Amino acid sequence: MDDTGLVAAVLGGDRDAFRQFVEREQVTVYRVCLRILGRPHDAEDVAQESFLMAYRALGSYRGDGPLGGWLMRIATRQAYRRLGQRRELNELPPELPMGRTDADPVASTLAGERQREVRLAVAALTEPYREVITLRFFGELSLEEIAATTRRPVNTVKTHLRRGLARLRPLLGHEAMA
Amino acid sequence: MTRRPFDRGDPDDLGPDLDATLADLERYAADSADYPTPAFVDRVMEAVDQQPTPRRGVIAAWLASVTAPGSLGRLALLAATAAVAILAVVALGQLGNLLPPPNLANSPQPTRIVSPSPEPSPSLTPSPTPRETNSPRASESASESSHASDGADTGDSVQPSDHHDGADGDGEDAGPTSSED
Repeated sequence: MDDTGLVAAVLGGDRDAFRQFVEREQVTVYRVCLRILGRPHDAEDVAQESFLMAYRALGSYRGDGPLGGWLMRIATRQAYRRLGQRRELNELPPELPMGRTDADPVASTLAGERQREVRLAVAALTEPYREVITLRFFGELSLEEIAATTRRPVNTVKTHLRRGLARLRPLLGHEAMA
Repeated sequence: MTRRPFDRGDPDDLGPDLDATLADLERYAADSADYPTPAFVDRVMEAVDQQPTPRRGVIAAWLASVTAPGSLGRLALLAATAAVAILAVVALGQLGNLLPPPNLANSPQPTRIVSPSPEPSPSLTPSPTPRETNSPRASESASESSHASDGADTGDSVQPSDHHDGADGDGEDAGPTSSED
């Protein structure tokens, strides 16, 4: 079922159509939330919240971009909002490293610390660079999908991506080459 | 929707100085390629089931009808746009007719702004200014006028009249203070 048919079915009261949509997009939405927030529990919470928001707002979806990208944008904003709330409450305990089961606890700690640095460096970027970097690397959208989702020309997205990476470089401690 | 890991050829002009940054992001994305718990979809649908069925928004519905392929909506949109443009032009023309003609009599007169000329800085050696005199000697002969211009070099009064006799020959001309000094 394509995006247009799916939206029409859901708006017609077909909740199974929305279940298909959740099943189709759950992994990417969860991952983008996990990569922003760094904690699985928070990521699932925000991902669920994002699906619910998308369901409520489905009537305002214009169909001028991919439905998955539209949802991804909602999830990205929700995740960064949650991250901001956590910062305000100083709720930033050290996270366990993701995807690593190093036997060496020192290596595991270092890996977790580096992941945290990358996550916070991307979060510290200003818009539109943060959104483009997030959608491309955390959401794994293609440049064309980002362009369609954000309603910007592809060349503009490329420029934002390049500038975002350049701004990220010093935040990650990479010195510019002479 | 396709899922595409980052391709270094995506943006143009990515220099080698960004390699380390790209490597960090790629490593982070690979390490965090996790999955939600198996009950995730059921939990979402439980929450969705408590919501009313969403309704299509007015703007979205209009856009959908207009942009639907094969519909007459595109033609209707073009016709509506053209009609609005024509109405706007006509309205502007009418607005121009309603405006009163320009009244040139009441138009503001250009005012001449006279900027003050820079005042001469006080000097201890003011140069003598030639004075017009009715003396017939000033225009009588070229030799006398040349004599007057020569006198300017030496500080002599350029006036051949006898009014400045006291200043003649002091080399500093007619300043009362300088002459007193």
